[in-house]
Amino acid sequence: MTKKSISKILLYFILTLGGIIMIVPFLWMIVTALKTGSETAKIPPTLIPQNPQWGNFIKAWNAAPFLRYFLNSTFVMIVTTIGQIITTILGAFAFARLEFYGKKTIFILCMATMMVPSEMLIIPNFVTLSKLGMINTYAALIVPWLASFFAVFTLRQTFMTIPDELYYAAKIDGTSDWYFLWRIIVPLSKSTIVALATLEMIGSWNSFMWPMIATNSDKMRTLPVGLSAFTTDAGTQYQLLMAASTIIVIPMIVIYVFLQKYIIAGVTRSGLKG
Amino acid sequence: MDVKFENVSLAYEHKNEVLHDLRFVIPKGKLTCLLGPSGCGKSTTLNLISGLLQPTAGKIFFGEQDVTKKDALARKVGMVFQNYALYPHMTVLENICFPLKMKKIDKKKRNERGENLARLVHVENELTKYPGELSGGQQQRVAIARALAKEPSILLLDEPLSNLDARLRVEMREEIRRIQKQTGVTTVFVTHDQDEAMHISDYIMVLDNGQIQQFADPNTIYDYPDNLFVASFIGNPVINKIPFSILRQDFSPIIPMTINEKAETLLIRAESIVPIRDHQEHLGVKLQGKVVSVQRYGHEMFVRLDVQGQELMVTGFKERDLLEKQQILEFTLRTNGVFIANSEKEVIWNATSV
Amino acid sequence: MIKQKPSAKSTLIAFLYLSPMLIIIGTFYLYPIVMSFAMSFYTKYNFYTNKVSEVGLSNFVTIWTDPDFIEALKNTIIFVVGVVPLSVIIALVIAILLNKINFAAGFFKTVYFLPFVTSTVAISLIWQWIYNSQYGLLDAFLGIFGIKPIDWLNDPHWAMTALIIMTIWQGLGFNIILFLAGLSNIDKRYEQVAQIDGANTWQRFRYITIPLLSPMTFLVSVTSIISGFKVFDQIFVLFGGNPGPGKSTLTLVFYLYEKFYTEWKYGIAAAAGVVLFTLTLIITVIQVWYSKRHVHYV
Repeated sequence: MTKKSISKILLYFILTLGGIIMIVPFLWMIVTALKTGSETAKIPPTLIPQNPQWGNFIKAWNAAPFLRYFLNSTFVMIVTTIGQIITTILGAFAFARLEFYGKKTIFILCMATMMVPSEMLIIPNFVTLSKLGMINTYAALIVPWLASFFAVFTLRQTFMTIPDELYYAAKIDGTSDWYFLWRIIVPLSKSTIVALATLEMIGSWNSFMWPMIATNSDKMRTLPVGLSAFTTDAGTQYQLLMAASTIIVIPMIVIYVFLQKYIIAGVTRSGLKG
Repeated sequence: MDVKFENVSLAYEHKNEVLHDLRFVIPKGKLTCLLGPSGCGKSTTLNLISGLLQPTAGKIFFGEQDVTKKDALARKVGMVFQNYALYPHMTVLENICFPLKMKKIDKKKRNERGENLARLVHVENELTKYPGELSGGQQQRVAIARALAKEPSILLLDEPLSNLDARLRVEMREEIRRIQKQTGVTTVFVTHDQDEAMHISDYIMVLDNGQIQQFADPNTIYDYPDNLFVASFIGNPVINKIPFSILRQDFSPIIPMTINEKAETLLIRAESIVPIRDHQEHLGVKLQGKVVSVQRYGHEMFVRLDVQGQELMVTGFKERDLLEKQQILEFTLRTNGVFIANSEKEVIWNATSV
Repeated sequence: MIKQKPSAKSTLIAFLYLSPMLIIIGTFYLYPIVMSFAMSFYTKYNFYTNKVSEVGLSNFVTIWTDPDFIEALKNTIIFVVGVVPLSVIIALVIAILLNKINFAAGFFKTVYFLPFVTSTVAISLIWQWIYNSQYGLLDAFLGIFGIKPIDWLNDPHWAMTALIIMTIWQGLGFNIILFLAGLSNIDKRYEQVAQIDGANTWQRFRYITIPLLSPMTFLVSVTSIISGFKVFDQIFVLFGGNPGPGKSTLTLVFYLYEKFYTEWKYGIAAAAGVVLFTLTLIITVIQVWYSKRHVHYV
């Protein structure tokens, strides 16, 4: 065996080992979700469920208002994502293409918001929303996330790579700014927009601290908050907890598998923002 | 439609005037070049014509109509850019038809017109391709077709050939000439390449420092430059410039006293320096210089001469005119391409006047 | 090329485009920044009447003398020191290995990246189960090697370690993706030239890849440090809403949360927020300073 092929084998060995470590918790989640209550308490643990309990998913689903949580999460995710993309496209266009007084000042002020940890803003935002009577409503879960300057900044960078001449050509051809934005710039920036949208979808679906603080009734809970609350009811019934976890994890994995290319591009950009 | 500028000036924020008091008329149905070095104001002038920029002072007329306050759309101009600016997500046909779509012309009609234009610019076989799949030359053809689609009052071309390689540039130059002749549309062409301007234009406007240096047809510009800038910007190799004082004695007999007094610089085109037994008309001067170097590139012959410490570039000699290892060369000057400029850099004497 | 001056009209139009974004950013980002600084100085504040009857520095004095806060600060730093270097090194190694293979590289990337798209709540629940002292998978696995069961989540000595392991596992994919982006930006010709110059695999790695990747390494570290300062969700779920056994995983944001949400002490919570902001600011300033001083290879 050559030295080269030995190192190749070693390489794949390390990567596979790492891959196993990454995937085992997910597999363990599914395995546990299919066990009976008594099987989860076996020592040593069984690696394959003796008698797969598919009913656990239904049991977990009915043990708490997961349907309601699921619908809440979906609704909040869709509205936030669409809303944020619209405000982002409009804002990014203004910063990239239009001339106006105070452009620099506003831009710098907004840049400053990217530096502030959002955890710090929870207190005043809670106060603001209470004053507006929006605590424990969908508005509280949606409105604060309808704009993100990180998204505006990223999209502006993309818009700015579109040559000026295209803008002039379109003007001469008779388009308005509005038409140019939606029919020319937006289609050309599709991949960035999809990347930002998927990042926002993931962020919205998984967000925990804010929905926990901004809601206080079961009816308004999102999946992560509901799941966290469910732990108190389920206690040590890990087969149900894992079944519920599976329910919350699967949609994002599906989205991820389909939009992987965009998500990775988006993450690369978000990491490079500093 | 002719384009008239009346005392047009443009100043940017916090900066001096970029264009100062421009007055000119671009004639209808002709191809006019705006020529000058980068930063001379030629693209800015073009953008003023297009309506993408508005002047700070002065008036712009298209024919009889005052369009100063009108935008690009209202002026109905067509424009072609250096980087083509084709919409990358639309096919060739969609690109060409886009201005018609904006005018809400129905699909059948606009596709028909688009196809006709594609034939005019010879891209009829690429209609369903995307710009990214075309060569630079083809992209520029599409851009021209798109600009023509709206039947523009004026066609504006901003350095349209600069992104093409040398051979394609010559080919496209002829194409633009042909398309312009065929359609008869008033065309304004911006370039920094004097050779391109000389070949393509009916008229050339030479610009420098935001001011018009000269505006005439190509041969007039070449044979009768108004000033030192025009004389040296046009022509390749660059015109020889030497202090007049060096050859004052030789020139005194053939120029009027009044010119002699003001003469500062002598300008001689390289091809106007010829052997004494050349057939063309000559000035009655007999000069000599020391040969510094002789180089031949294909059919061209470049001789460097030292005339009293000033080096002259000479292309008027053929190989047979040179003796081997000849040190001293006698020469005379043709009546074409010899000028005298004063201290204001204005041409005050042209050898054709003799 | 064409720079038109802004006019009243163009400004009006631009603000029509900007207004949706500006209203949200203004209300939920800019205003709260100002507010949280202001609130940190409110020493007597009635939330219901929104009345401030006293301002001063006493909130900062209080947290500074609060042993819980000192503990939270200490734990946060231990957490960051425990997570960042290990996470960066492991991610770097895996990224470099991934960069060397063609077959199944996409598959591995997908696998390593999975935790990033997964809800932290779900992840924490899974790990809570894995860490279970009686029926947990981890102790069972360690038992094969004769290691006695560890009560990861209830033993104050191990709770932080458990948290760190899970966080590294969760954040690995994100860092790997960033390193891969950095690696793909390094011109392959450098490696080729080095090979011609006689550098072996290790030397190429040591003298070409590592130095050229250093700006990315720095960036990944900074991002990890800042997100380390903000750790909360994992702790909340992993330890069932408590800051760990004997407050051993009480961190800055957890402290903020407790003061704000359980104790309703807005001023003190805001003061803790200001401390968090200051830490982030220091790191950001260092980052800006570093980026200005050092050439960006990547």
